[in-house]
Amino acid sequence: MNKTRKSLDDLKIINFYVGYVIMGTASLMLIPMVTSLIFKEWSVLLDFTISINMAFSLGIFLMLTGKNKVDKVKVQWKHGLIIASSSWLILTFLCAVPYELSGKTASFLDACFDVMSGFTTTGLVLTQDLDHISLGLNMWRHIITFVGGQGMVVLALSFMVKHTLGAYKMYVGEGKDVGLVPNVKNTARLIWKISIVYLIIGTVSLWINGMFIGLQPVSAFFHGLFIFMSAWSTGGFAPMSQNILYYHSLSYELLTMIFFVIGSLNFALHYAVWQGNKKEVFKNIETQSFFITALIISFFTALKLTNSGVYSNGISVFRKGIYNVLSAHTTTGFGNLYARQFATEWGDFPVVMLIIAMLIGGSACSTAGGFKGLRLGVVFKSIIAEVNKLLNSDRKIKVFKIHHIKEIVLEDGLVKSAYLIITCYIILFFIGTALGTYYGYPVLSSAFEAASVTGNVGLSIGVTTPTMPNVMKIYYIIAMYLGRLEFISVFALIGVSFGGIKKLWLKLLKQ
Amino acid sequence: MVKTFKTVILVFIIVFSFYVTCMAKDYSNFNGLIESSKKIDNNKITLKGEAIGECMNRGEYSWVNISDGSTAMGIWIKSDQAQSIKNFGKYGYKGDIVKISGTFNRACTQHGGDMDIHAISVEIIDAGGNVKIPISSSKKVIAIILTIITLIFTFIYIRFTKGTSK
Amino acid sequence: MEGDYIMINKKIIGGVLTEIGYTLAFLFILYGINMILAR
Repeated sequence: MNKTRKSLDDLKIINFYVGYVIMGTASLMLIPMVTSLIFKEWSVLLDFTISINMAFSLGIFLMLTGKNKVDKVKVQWKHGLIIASSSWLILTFLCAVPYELSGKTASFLDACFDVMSGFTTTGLVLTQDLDHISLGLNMWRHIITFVGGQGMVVLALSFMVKHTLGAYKMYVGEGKDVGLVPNVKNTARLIWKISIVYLIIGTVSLWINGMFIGLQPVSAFFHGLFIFMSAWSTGGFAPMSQNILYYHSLSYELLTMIFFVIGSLNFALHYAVWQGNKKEVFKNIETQSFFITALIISFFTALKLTNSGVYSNGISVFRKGIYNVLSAHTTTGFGNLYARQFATEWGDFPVVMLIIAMLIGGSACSTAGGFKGLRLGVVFKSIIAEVNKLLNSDRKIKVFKIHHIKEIVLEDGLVKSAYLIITCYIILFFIGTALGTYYGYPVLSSAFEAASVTGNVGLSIGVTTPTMPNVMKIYYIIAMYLGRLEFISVFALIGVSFGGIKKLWLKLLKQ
Repeated sequence: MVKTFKTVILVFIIVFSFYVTCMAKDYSNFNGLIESSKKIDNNKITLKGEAIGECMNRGEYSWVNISDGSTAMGIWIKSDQAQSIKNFGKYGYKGDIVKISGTFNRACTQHGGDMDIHAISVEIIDAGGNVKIPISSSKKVIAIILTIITLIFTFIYIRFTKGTSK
Repeated sequence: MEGDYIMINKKIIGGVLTEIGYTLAFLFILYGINMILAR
């Protein structure tokens, strides 16, 4: 009897916080609603009214079921992880409603795909006729990616006034583990503060540059806002179907490069630099790792693209080659080539370079995806440490450390978790590749798309289309989700769900 | 004698221009352009599409992106030719359907590797304009019902909170 | 109080400029390598 009451309490706590996160995220729908109102997009306003009410009703209902337990039951790790993973799932369905009602998606599955793509800051798109969608829907798409990058749980946490008992555990459940300041709520607020400062700077720079390249003032503002939100969150969505190619502008591309590189950096690094610690940029293992891998990959890609004659002048190699390498490596996904061009023009070697860049990814505790530079650095140093141990006598034990804001000892636990997560990513990548080939796509194209999905990148070689097999769409959604939440919280959700089902099944069998 | 000579020249010119215009392959599906980009690189082609977004003036020349319904291509046109395009597609608007004749570039050296067409001639086939977006009455009904449900839930929640804090 | 506000803004501006500066330097290095290779 006591056990069932405890499980019920667990469920109530989870319900309350999930409801809270839903309320917070759904409130964002007010922004596209206001946009549609200003631009007289009445049908869109209706779509969002329907969507926001669906979300609010569910959110309030969930909070109601858990309200009486909220300050009485202690929030444990399992709660935090499940709150993060289940709110992401539920929000995927709720936030897909505006897309579905707009009629621009071929199916509800496609709408969910685009939402998950936005939340995970992947950037693959199944929405059709992007060039004619409403300003309201475009605003929604880009807000989803901007908020997804920061994290919906982070969003909710920054507004939490009471009920902060389980805050840290939910925060970690969403895939972040760095505390900028001791208090999680203040950490969440700091992350938002940094993002908002750049939002202003970025939008204004892109707005002004937009007008310089020939855009009208009002549309230049929206293009600037959308492109910034997508760049900072390393999402990869763009308001037009040609993505960055629409602008045909080096200056615009340069600005996006600056913002997506900075956006891919660890928030703790931003905080350290803003506190005055400029040396951190050089000493940090992630920036070192990124700098080295980006340099090597760019070097070989530029070399091959030049030698094979794909591009005939230096500036083209830079704008098409280096740009896409950096877009891939930071897991942004902005592109200035048509997807199929990677397959028909580039040749295999540069495509392989992009795949590697996409898998390595950006920094931990940032909006970027992939293995993360931190893990790569840890793995690299651990190999050196192992070799060192073998070569030296037993008495001399050198302690290896990595520098990530502070000095961290390279101990077994840290190394093990790095290898573990990297292995999970690789497995996800291989399954994705195999699935693509099963459905008849060429190996390299399947691998490219699988890497894009696993690393939450968003570059496409042409596999992702509305006519893609549904099984692949579902797999990609799952992979984007697992990749973004870095596995653990989703495994917890699966574990608890199966555990719960097993208990229920045993109970039924006993009767 | 002169008359015969003139006729021969005229016929020659007509045949030649017929030949040249036939050589310019007509594209209405842009995916075809992308797939055969290496083959048609630097060739003269004709394509048809809806002007979308806006015309980006870059001085003497401008960029106009045209769409075939799913893919859009960048056209580099002389700014005064671009003036003839009045409507651009976006939400609630259909852009002018234009027919462009020009040189296709797989990776334009002038434009940093962009795939584009440098237009020679621009022709408006179909003028665009406003498109009325219908507002579904069932959506209106659902919206009202759902708003009422949300308000009811909010009311219950506030009452519940007040009740337990007593 | 007033001084604090300006201090915070100075830090933010300093931080942003540092980051943009380093990023531009990084991009410039890549551009340089690119142009040498693309000769």
